[in-house]
Amino acid sequence: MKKHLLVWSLTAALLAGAWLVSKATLDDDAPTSPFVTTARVGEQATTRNLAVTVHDVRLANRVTDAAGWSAEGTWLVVDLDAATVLTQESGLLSFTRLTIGERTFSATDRGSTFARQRLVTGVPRTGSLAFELPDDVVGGRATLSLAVGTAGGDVIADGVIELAIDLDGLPVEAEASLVESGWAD
Amino acid sequence: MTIPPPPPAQPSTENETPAADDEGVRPARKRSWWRNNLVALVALAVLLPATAATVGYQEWYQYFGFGARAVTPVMVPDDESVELVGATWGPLRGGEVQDLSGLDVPDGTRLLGVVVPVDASTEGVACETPKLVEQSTGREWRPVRLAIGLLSSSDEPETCLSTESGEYEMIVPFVVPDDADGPFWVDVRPYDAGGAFLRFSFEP
Repeated sequence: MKKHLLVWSLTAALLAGAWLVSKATLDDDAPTSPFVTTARVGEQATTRNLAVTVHDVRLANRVTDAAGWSAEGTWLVVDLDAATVLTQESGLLSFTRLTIGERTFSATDRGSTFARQRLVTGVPRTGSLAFELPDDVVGGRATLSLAVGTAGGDVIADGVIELAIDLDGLPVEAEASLVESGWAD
Repeated sequence: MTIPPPPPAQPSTENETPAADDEGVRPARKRSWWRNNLVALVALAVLLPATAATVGYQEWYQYFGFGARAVTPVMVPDDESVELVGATWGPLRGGEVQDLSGLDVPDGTRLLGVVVPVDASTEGVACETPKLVEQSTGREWRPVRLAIGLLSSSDEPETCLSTESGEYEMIVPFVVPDDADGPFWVDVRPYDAGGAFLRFSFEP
């Protein structure tokens, strides 16, 4: 009787242990998943090789740049400073992505914007990113993700800076001008 | 028929040790576990580090081997030059650029100018753009000619001129924040040098 009790309690303990291990196991893509740093407007956020300060987020029906280019549409404009922290190798601000629900948008390469800006270590550059959104995006929450050194694909095992944006809380301006890319003040 | 009575017990002699044994051979002691497994333990002590070293080297070689990445610095002494891949490099000159008129250099930074003489002899030589490395932190900078408002110029090349033979000078501007006060290294990596690169000391 005692031996039966021992065997069954051992079985229960092993099953419980296996269940815990299966629950504690990370996803298959965990070894390469990015390290997320949450940013706030007006505060600097820093990852391994990127330091970003988002100054302003605006919605507008039209954007213009310093060279005179302009375009109608639904635009989300993000004004920011950015610098690399360690190295300028792979130091392009190449990962600029806006996620709204299930959909993702890349920063426009039209006009003269901060997309794919060549960053400098410890010396911030400033500029604006612009995202052209479909007209049916009228509210809800969006997430801006920024990283350096990706070749257009996802961020692999490196830092990503994320900013939560409440689209409902943003006034829609008639026109937004993009900050000319250059050194930050 | 009756069962015969058991024979009388023989007096035991096993415990009676002859007097001669006390002076001579002791009874054999059991050999220790460590001694029994000595060969296996020695093999383990050799094979474990050897396995770690082999696997580690294999991983290192997969990443850094084949001359794909610059890992071996060729130190260039101050005021001297060094020959690598058929060209002569150095001596390096440079310092902080004081006259910033007409240049777009932000506050809180310094503009460092570095001159790397190259003698490419009769065949041209190709290299990556030089980089500036802060020795204390490992922070790196690449040239920023366009960002400070200078267009690229064949008179002031930022990188090696692969089609140019003979002597010329690379002129490389770096913008560094004020908190980067050196000393620095300037690293130049010729493409044909495999894993080797030139490392100049630079203190502006």
